[in-house]
Amino acid sequence: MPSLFMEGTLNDASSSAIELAPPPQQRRMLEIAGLRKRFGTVEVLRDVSLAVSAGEVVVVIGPSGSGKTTLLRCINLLEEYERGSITIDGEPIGYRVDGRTGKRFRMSEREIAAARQRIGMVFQSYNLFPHMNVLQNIVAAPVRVKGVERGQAEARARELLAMVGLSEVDPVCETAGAAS
Amino acid sequence: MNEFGPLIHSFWYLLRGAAMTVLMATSAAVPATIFGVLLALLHIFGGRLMRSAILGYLFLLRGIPLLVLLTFVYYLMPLTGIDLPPFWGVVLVISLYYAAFISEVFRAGILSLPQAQWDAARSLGMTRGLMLRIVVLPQALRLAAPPYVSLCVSLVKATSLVSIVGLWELTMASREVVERTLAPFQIFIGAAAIYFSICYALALYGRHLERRVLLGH
Repeated sequence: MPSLFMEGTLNDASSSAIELAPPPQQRRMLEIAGLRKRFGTVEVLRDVSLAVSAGEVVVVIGPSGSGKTTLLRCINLLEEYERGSITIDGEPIGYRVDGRTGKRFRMSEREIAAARQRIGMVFQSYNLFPHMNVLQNIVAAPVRVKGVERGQAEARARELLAMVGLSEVDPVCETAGAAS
Repeated sequence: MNEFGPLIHSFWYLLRGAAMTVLMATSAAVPATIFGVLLALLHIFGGRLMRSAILGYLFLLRGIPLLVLLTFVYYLMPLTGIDLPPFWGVVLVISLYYAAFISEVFRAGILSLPQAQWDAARSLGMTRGLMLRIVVLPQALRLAAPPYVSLCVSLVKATSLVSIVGLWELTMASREVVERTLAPFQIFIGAAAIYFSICYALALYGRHLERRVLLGH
């Protein structure tokens, strides 16, 4: 059985998900079932289902406007969706369904924020914080959201910068240049 | 320089009036700013009812001249039985009036942040309060700084209206001196120069803030 399957369609049938690496284990990290999302009258996601196992690298490919970004934004609850469910490491996120009435409730902002802390997201245009320098951009979330001690977070940030070959960049310089 | 004798003789008196003007403007600007930011946040994040209430407040206050408002409250106060010293009465009116304008300036600053910044902050798992504190407000305040400084300058000049309800400050002091010396041109040139100096200093300080402090570098 393939560990990743995708049923249904993004709004363009040519979109598809390609599996890059075989799953080292069968633990389901991300599971999407029957996701449906529309902007007004335009149905962007039509019954999208997929599963991603731990360690797996998945690429979603499709022409622009086919709903790739919308799919990612739904996972992170940056978009609301009308139907379907998303589960991360076994835990449903975003919505909770009342067992008796079958009614769907959006989780509280606090719960959603907590879920987002475990999900990494890189935006198409990076969306760096322009009023912070490179180092502040990297440590903002660990320090302010997760409560990592600042010195520790900065040391880790420098390690990461070195890892991607940016150790030469002055980490306290403006972010505008860093984006390029 | 004999023509300016009256001005030179009364300059110290005018400066004391100016001190009162500055005191009054500062006392009004601080609460106006706090209330203004609060109004802007409630306007953006509040419920429908809150929003309508704030809109009503904004339209009402922005649609009435400050002079009319000051006079109205001046006559209203004794009837309500609220015994507020006149100084604090006018400070209250001026700050409520300017809060309406300040809130619109800050609201514009907050709304002009690109959606991408909100998305980025939310995707990092920030709660609304944290998002406002470290992502939204630092950038919004920077955007709102220039019109905010203009409003502060306008507030300083607006204090000249309070002489109409009998409060003593620079304009009132000038009028007193004019009555005594019958030298309106000289005295009001002096008063204008003092007002200009205060406002110019404020505008310069605002520019300094914009460049140095708010840009951070």
